[in-house]
Amino acid sequence: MGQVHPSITPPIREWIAHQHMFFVASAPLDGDGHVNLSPKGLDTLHPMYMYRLFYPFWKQQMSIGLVDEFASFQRLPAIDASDVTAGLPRDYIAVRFYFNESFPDTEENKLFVTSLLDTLTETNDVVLLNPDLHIDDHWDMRPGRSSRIHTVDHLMTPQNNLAVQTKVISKARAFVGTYGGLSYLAPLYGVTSLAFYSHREKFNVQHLELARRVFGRFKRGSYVVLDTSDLSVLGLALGEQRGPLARLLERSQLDTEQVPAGL
Amino acid sequence: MLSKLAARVIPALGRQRRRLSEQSEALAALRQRVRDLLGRAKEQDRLLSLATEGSTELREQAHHHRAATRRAALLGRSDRPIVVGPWCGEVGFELLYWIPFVRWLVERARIDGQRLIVVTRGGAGLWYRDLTGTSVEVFDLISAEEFRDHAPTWKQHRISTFDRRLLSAVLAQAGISRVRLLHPQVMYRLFTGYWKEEAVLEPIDAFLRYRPLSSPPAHPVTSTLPAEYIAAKFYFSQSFPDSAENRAFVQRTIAAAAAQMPVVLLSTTAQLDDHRDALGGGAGVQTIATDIRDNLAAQSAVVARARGFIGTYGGFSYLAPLYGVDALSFFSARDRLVPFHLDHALRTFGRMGAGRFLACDVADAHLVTSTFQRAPQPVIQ
Repeated sequence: MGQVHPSITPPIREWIAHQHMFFVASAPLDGDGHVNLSPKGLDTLHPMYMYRLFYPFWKQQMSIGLVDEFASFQRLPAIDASDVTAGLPRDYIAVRFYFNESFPDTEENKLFVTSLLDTLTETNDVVLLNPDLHIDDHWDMRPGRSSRIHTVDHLMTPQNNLAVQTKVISKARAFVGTYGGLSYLAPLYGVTSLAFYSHREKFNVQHLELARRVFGRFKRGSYVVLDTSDLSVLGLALGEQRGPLARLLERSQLDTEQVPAGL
Repeated sequence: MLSKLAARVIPALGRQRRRLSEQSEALAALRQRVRDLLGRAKEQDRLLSLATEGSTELREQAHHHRAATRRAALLGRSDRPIVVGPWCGEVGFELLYWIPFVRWLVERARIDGQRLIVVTRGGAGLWYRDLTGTSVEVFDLISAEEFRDHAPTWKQHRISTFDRRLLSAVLAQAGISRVRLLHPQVMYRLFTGYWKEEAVLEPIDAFLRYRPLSSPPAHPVTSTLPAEYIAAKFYFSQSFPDSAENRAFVQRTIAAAAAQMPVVLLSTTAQLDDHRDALGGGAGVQTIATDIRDNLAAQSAVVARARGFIGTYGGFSYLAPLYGVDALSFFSARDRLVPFHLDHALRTFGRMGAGRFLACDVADAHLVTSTFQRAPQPVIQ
């Protein structure tokens, strides 16, 4: 029930001052005018406070201890994802590749993603999180692959796309994709994350170092970020003969050799 | 009469109760505000303590910063020979910090390399070849046993009696008496704050200059090697402890590498520090045993000619990328390693563009391989 006060008395002023948020509305007596209604807050926790606090760490002026001092990292609670995962296989790998400065839209990177998807779908179901993944005009047509690829773009709207992706990732066996914000989400739900970049100089290494430490504390082997060329280094010891990693290496090297000049 | 009294008293009591209730609310609000204020005062205290701590660290850092630049200026002004060392510490600190620090200081003070006399051990003098051609071998001055008893686990934060003894022997051997000294203590004091992740004035790279190492000279040990091979050096350490899992991992890893091309295992006949070799073996694996007196020169010659290096994450894993050879190294106890060193190595070798450097948890390696394997099948009861 509304209550009309003829004036703002000192007790009312004091009461208002105790509120975390209140609205002020004004209405003109003239019928052609507009009603203005705006929230007024006394307490706000704006992201600027965090940006200002952590800026010296990002600029390498202060150590990682600064973030440790003022941040608390915890796993996110389990969520009900049944509305999204109902139509998906029981066991799948969530994949999201996109191009950015540290993983730019180059022929090499396109071929890398194609080879990786080819290798993954040999033995795994894959749920693509990005609706607009156009890597290679011919890739979607490769026989025998499409049945292993699942998409969720029909469920996504601008309002719920992060919620849908979160639900898919939270129930996946693993996440594979571009190194970036979404790669941090998987370990927060206890899902292993394997992410790639190709241009190390194009991102702030401080973020990666922090992520490695934080997720390493959650669970060993839950977060791995690699330069695309690191796979050949891994192949030194992990590229078991004719194994999937070895095939991925062969495939990406073969594909690279087949890139026509001028592309 | 009673009703008149009640009519007078009851409203008064009501007013009294309202007043008491208001006072109680006001008191509760006051208590809350006091609690808030105490919380803020506590937080203020914590921030003040952090700031004080940070300011002490910065003051110390500034002191060591000045000491390093003063040392550089002093060495630059002088025309005497400069003894660099003696280096008695671990290979990792020498490769990742000491040599790049010496290079920074030499460049900053424009010191002629001919004035430098490097003192190090095990044939590591060849790592300084872009700086100077003059080096003194510690094992020419003392025995390996004496060295092992005195040196290996120290961090040279000060010039010890042992260091003085070595320096006297260097001067006697070189037949000189008046020299300037660039002792590792300057670097240790300057960099300790970084390694402990304290507040610092500027990034550590301001004091380091990295350059790929020049190819090592031929060594007799390489005459028996195959044309193409992977060099391997696994040992147990705090971050890769001696456990059944790690032993099995080493065996599997060496076998997987040997299935691709011959593997040359690096081993030394003598133990210099607290790292114990985790030898593997089997088909396609050849073990190279080296003499302690030139074990680092011999191992450098093997690593520099290899197609790749695999091994335990640690100082030796930094050597391969400096020779332009890809290195893959492993640890299994991240909490037992100093994170700064790993982060710094990843960043430095990532930028250098020589050999690739990849160090990962054994569990990370498992993640990579298992991601590409078939989905686990459900167990049917």
